[in-house]
Amino acid sequence: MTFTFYVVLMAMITFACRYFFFANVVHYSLHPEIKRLLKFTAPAVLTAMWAPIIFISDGHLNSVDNAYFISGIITILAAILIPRTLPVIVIGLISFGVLRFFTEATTLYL
Amino acid sequence: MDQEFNRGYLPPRSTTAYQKQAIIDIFPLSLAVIPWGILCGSLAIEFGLTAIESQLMSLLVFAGAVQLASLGVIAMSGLVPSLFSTTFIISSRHLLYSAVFREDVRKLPTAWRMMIAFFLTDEMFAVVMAFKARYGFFSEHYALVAGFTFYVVWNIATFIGIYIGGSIPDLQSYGFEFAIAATFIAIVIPQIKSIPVLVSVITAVTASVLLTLFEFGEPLMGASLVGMLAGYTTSKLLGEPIV
Repeated sequence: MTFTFYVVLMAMITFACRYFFFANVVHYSLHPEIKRLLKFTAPAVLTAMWAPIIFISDGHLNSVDNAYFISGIITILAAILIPRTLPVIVIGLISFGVLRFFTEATTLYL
Repeated sequence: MDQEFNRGYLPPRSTTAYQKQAIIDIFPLSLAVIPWGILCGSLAIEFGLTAIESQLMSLLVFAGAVQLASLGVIAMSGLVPSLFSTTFIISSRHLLYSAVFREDVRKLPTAWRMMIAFFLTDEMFAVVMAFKARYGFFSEHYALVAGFTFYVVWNIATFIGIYIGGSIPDLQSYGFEFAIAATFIAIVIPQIKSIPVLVSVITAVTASVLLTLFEFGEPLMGASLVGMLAGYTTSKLLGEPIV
């Protein structure tokens, strides 16, 4: 029961963070320089999420023997060449699946 | 469905078209997050929460990283203040998303603003930004359906985790994380259309790799802010117009 109360409080914190700038209590507009900074939110935050998945495994830098690294590079190249999201994701996932299959096969037989 | 729409670069015409597009776009991210949802449900049971409490976490808190971290905090220290400070630190990036959508969302009625805020996740932010980059405008119908679809999948996954209980297989070894990385790459790379955005992305890559390798502070927020500042500074130096 106590934990249910904690869950509700945690939900209030996460909701407050998500709603904060939607509140219409104060009718101020964001400063133009803040808007300039915020333009870089999507590329910076999303990159800060995908880069460690591609470049790091178990606290070490990945190299060319790693499926995450190689298929990550393939996905980046595909995204440069193809401007549509879905085909790029499909190419990335297929390359990852194939590489995982082969890296696991080699680990088994060596 | 209509042909031009499938070829892209033409705005979809009806609300229904936005909603369908939202479900398609959030689909890969929803699939990728299923293992994490299962993990959240199953770990919650393992840490002694009741089935209802475990499901309530996903129904109300609706933030995977917060949910997993909160279980860790409870298990390790049981300290309630650190539970809430951890929640705030992890959720703080949503403040950024909220600020980015501010101009688009604040003209909507309160009920709409609250719904969009409730369903605002990394994944919803990512697909809505991709939609904005492609079509040049914000659609609240698109945002809501994308967020809601993700919410439903997340809660079903949590339910499965609760049902299975503590006996989950090693889901991390299957590499579901890669699907998230691939989707974010597919969304970010086409948005690199100017030097400041390129600088911002390269800096964020470097900073996130270094901060993660050396386990320094909060790599996600740290690298995000460094990347944003790098983009901002370049934009200032090049005298880019704001808009």
